[in-house]
Amino acid sequence: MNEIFNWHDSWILVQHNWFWLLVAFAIGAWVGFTYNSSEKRIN
Amino acid sequence: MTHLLIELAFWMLFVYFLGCLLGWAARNLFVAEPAAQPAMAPVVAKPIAKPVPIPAPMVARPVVVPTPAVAASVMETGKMERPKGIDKARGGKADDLQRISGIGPKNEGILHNLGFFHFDQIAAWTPAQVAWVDDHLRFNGRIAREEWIRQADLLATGKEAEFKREYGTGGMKNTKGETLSGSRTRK
Repeated sequence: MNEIFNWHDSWILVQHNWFWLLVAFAIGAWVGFTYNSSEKRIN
Repeated sequence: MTHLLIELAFWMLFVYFLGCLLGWAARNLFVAEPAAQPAMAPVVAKPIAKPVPIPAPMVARPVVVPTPAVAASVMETGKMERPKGIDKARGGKADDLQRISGIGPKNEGILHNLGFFHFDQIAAWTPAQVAWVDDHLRFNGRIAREEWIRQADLLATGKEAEFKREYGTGGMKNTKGETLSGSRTRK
């Protein structure tokens, strides 16, 4: 436990969970693509 | 184990925001903004032979043929001109702009800040001025769709019956102070 974070382990983590990261990316991309600040309706 | 989960959560957040950023950038790069086009379009002042009915977001309301001035602003001539406001309301008393369906407290405040306090001021807007206000408030044609000019004209000229028939009461009170309707929906 003397090393909590290292990039190598983190990269392995990414490789093992690439699908869920892809899902998160796709959701983010969709949100970003459909976001339109000018469509906020004010009265 | 816990720190792996936390690390994964951070990765997912990072990837999500990266997606947001790229998606937003892609939209801005590859999809033309419908509102931005008319502003940049060259001046094409074509007379409109037939006013085009404007699709309305509400159901069960009659199809309204807009006045030529409104239709012209919808067609966007590309010209924009800031309407001239006044410093304060004439006689110190502003009209109740919220009677216009589509204007709420927020928009009323904005209009006051721009120097518009009276129905006749709004009724006098030219299509170029409507286009400016619409663009300034990022309304994407709402002023035309909701027929602010016609509503303001009816209210300015005291045509209450006609206003009520066409637009309801705007959820406001009548001249006697009676609440006529709780809805802004046009009849």
